Amino acid sequence: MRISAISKMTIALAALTTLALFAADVSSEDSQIVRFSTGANSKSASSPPKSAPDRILVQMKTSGIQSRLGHAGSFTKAQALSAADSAIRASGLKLGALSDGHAIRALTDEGTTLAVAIDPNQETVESAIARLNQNPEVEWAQPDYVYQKFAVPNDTNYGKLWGLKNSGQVIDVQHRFHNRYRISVGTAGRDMGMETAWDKITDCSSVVVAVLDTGINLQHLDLVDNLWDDGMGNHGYDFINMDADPDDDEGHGTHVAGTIGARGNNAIGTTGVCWRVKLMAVKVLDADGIGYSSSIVQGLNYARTNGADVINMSLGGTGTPDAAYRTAIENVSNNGILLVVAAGNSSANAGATYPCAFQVSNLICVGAVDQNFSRADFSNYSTTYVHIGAPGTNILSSALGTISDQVISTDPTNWTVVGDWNSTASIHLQSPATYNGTSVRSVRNTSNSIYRSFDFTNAARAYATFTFSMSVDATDLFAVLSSNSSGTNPSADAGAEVLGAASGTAAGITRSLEIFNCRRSQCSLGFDLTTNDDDNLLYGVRITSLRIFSYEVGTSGHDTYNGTSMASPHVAGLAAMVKAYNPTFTAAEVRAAILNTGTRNANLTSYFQKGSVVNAPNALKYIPKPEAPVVAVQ
Amino acid sequence: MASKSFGALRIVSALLVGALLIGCEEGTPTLRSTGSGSSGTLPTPPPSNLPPKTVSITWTANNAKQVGQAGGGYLVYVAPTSKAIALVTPIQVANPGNGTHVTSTTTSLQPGVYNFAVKAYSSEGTSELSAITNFTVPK
Repeated sequence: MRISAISKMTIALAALTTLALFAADVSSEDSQIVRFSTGANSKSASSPPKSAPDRILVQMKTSGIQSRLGHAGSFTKAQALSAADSAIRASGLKLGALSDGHAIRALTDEGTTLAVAIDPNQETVESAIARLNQNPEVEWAQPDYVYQKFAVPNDTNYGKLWGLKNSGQVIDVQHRFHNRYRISVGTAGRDMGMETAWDKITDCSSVVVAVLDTGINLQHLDLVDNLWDDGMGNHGYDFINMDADPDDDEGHGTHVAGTIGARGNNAIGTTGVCWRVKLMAVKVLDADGIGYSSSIVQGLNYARTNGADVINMSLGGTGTPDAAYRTAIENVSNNGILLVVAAGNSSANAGATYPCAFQVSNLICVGAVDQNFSRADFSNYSTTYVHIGAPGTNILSSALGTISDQVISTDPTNWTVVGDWNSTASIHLQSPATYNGTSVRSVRNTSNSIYRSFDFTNAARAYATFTFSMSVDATDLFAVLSSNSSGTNPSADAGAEVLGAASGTAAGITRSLEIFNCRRSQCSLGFDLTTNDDDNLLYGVRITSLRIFSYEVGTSGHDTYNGTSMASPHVAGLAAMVKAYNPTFTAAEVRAAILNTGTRNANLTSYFQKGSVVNAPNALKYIPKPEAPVVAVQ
Repeated sequence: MASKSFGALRIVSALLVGALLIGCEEGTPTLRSTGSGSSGTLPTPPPSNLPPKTVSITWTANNAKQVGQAGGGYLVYVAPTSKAIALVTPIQVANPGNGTHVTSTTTSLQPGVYNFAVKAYSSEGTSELSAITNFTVPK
């Protein structure tokens, strides 16, 4: 039984290295000898007037004031104002009235910087400025420009989205399943500059962004209004189950979609880079975040033939480039669709990571940076294959559901014991009962287990997080198992799944293990200590705390992830924004706008081709290089 | 001999720079280098007695939205092949500001060989210079 289950786990892990989503497990725990699988309301964004239509600002020359006063010495504010009034009226300006009723008001104590009212029925700002600039007593004249607060969405968690607006905030929220990145506070201003960009555009709904991933939570309140529709009520396609219901059953795709386009300024949750956009859900990864070439090829084809402008692929794999995958990627690129893909989380050169290494023309490969714009330590890199960086640590976004956090009593009266497990109020679960915390000689050649049932019928994902100490001979085994049959001892269930297994010596170790086979079902979780030899070595395991976390599928959850999977959708969202702002841009022009305008950071030059992090307002300002002109004699 | 030739070339070059800057502001460069200078002789004087030709320059409308709006347009660079094109004062072609683009202009040039290039601009910046088109205005 155990060998079979461990083999299954090994196969699953091997598959992960082939085509796996790129959310990083950035465990900060010391692995020691234990080897477990781990599992504002805002203003409108419309264009405001650029200056006041009925007044201008004027700077008088000191010499001009002195000339009118008839001396070269100092003067009072009142004297300056009087002299300036004469000079301005001498220019023939058609004056109006300021809010205080006067035509001219001094803005500074010196009395030489003035606000001057004009009569908009007789004088334009431009004509008034032109008139005064011809007056030798005037230093300069200019419009009274409009300034305003930057567009800030009223989404409740906006202040936690450091990638969009970095105020130096600490990100320490909702790290239930994914360990918080080791750096949780950054540098103010190290962000994508979204508030400046949102002054130009927030609505990208003319653009379709296909999310090739685990699907999207189609009921999520922050996403439901931004879902693409095929005209028949479908929001995409599921190439895992081969139906038109691409609902997410893992969570990764929902998180990615939220970064691209969670509805902004709707007073709930988070906002995406785009406040409005069309998100096409293309499910090509299963509930474990695993997919095959066949699914991805079909997904790429679906996105291409159903009008996607941008495709985000927060997924990838290493190994031999496969022809089917390459062909599908090339077809997308050749059809003028921009691919935005994650670089991978192996802290390795991305030269063998696909699709980055395919190097097609309309593809942006994105690495992850932290809250200081340094490369995230897990991010793949390459000055050839990884083009640019984007925020990828401690990223809060939409989740599959809300998180249930249960502290589980380790009182064995709630558990079924088989063999030698016991508890005291202070020690909790341990095996054998005589374990003293460091050593004991257990009964040999026995299997000791303890288990209890949990109800995960509404849980898309579930995790057991526990703290333990152990002293286990290398030839023996401490294991955590689960059975998707309520009331069953996992140690005696041929179909049980080994969540983790270890031997050796450890103290005070905490691990979080995903309970894969209990999703949406009744479940038994068990601990097992088996000694299967006849030596005289010492054995014992003690579990001092146990918590069960689960994603209860819902419509309003949010969670924080790390990974290049989280960096890529920041760029995909920006690509949608650039395309919406410049509707006639080609994919190549959108790509150039993003890659040529990033915020350079010296410590990224050896990791990413552009040595920079994407910058939204700069990308919106980008003007493509014209084609060479055609010349002829008439 | 070589020393004398280089001295003369430097003087002629300095004159050309001043003349071209003035000429290009009006879109009608009236002086250009017609001699290579490598032979050690003075450049051939411009054939000022030849009538100028009207030359049309056309380009493709830029896809950046702001270029078609108020404050946007194109800068057309025309320079003799002896002159760095980025150093001449361009002809400014402003767009009307309603989303439409002006994508051609004309200029009067003396016969000779010229380089042509275009930049797009908006209220927020300019593009890179286009690739250069080399064209001979015939006699």
